[in-house]
Amino acid sequence: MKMIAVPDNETMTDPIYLSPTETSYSIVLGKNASCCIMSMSPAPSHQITIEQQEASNMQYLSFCLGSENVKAEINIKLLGEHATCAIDGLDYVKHDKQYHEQYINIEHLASHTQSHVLCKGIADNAARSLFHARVIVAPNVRKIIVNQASHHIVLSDKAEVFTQPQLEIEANDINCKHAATIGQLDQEALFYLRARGVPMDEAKNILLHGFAEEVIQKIKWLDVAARVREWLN
Amino acid sequence: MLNIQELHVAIKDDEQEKPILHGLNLNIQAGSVHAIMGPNGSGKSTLAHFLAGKANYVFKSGQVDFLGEDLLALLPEERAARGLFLAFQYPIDIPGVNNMYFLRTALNNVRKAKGLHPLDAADFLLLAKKEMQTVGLDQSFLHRAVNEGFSGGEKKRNEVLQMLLLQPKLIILDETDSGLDIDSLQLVGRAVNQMRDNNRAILIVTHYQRLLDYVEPDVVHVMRKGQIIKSGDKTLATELEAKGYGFLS
Repeated sequence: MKMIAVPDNETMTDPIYLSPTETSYSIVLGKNASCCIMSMSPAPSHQITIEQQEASNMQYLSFCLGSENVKAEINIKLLGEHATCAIDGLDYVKHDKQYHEQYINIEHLASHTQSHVLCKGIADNAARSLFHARVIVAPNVRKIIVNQASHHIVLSDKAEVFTQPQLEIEANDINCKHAATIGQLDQEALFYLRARGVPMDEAKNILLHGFAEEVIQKIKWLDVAARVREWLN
Repeated sequence: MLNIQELHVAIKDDEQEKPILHGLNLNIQAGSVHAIMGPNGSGKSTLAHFLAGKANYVFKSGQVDFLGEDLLALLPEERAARGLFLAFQYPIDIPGVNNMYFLRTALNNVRKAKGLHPLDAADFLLLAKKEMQTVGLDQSFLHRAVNEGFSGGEKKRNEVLQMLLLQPKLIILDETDSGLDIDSLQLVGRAVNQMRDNNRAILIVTHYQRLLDYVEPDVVHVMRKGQIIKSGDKTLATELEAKGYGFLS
């Protein structure tokens, strides 16, 4: 297991990249600490535990666009008040028998904590993906903000997407938003592009990039964002 | 340029088919401006979308010839490449897709079909800036997502901008005047008039006479229940505005 500690009051300027060979991480953010964890070519099966102290801020970015099977488990504990985490992910499965599984568990164990999850996925051919997000809000904590959104596009009849959002809330004073969609590409938008002379395949590609862009724009490092856009091609 | 004969079209609604166009005839020559007016539900917008190639219509019978080709055998993108342009009544938002990228991709596809070289970003920007001035859209609209968060009037101006950039041969304006304030209407009218020439035709689909005050039509048709029931010169539009569609029945 790899241990990473971000000391109190430290803001890491560069992202922490998950290694392709490391299967287990334990990351601790001290008070007021801030960091970004980037999962771009992680080990096919990996598990990450993140503990956040008071007023710490963690961004977790996952771009799972490779051809392998992936099983990712991310466990986040918001231990200190005003700790905030954001998980933004883009997942693309396109080969027959390819299977991506993502499990996200977030525990709100202190008041004034926030979690924001935005995961988007694209599934093509006979590939499958599973997205499971569970948010637990402990009793007796207050002023919690939970945002959870998962949006998936299925491009073929054989592709399968399973999405399981789960909220376990034992407190009263929370602000919770939740959205999950699975669908095709927007047919109206596809027609609009084609009516402007853009051929079908190119139009689909433009819409997929547009769909992914919301997640890509969460990347602060422009060179990394450019690399993700290239990967998508 | 466009010749429609005995066109019958239905719309798919759940599993049922509902006939919309019942033997419609229309002949539009290059160099002319036609207007189709008619009450809600008369089939005006169906005609406009069907000609552009929208999928959820069912062609039953008839013929549509566009510049000597069978229009209905062409894909929507091929129709656009041949010079057919529909300004949408409700332009579609495309989140995450930059408006400039969209406009340049559209233009370069249409240019490719004409055998012209693609415009690079710098050349495109010069052209886009000029045409944006014509339609009164600020340059910041190039850097936003396509139609996302645009007001109704801004979306319509973005449609007209596309028309100016693509330089189509047949322009179909589907209720382009609806939702426009007087200033926007003037700008749109001016832009459409700028497109009038002997090699191009314009079909204005509208409820009202408003846009026709700025873009004077050569022929006005009245559509009702999926057919053209009366055609005349521009005075027909004035008459309709004064008396309503009732006087024709």
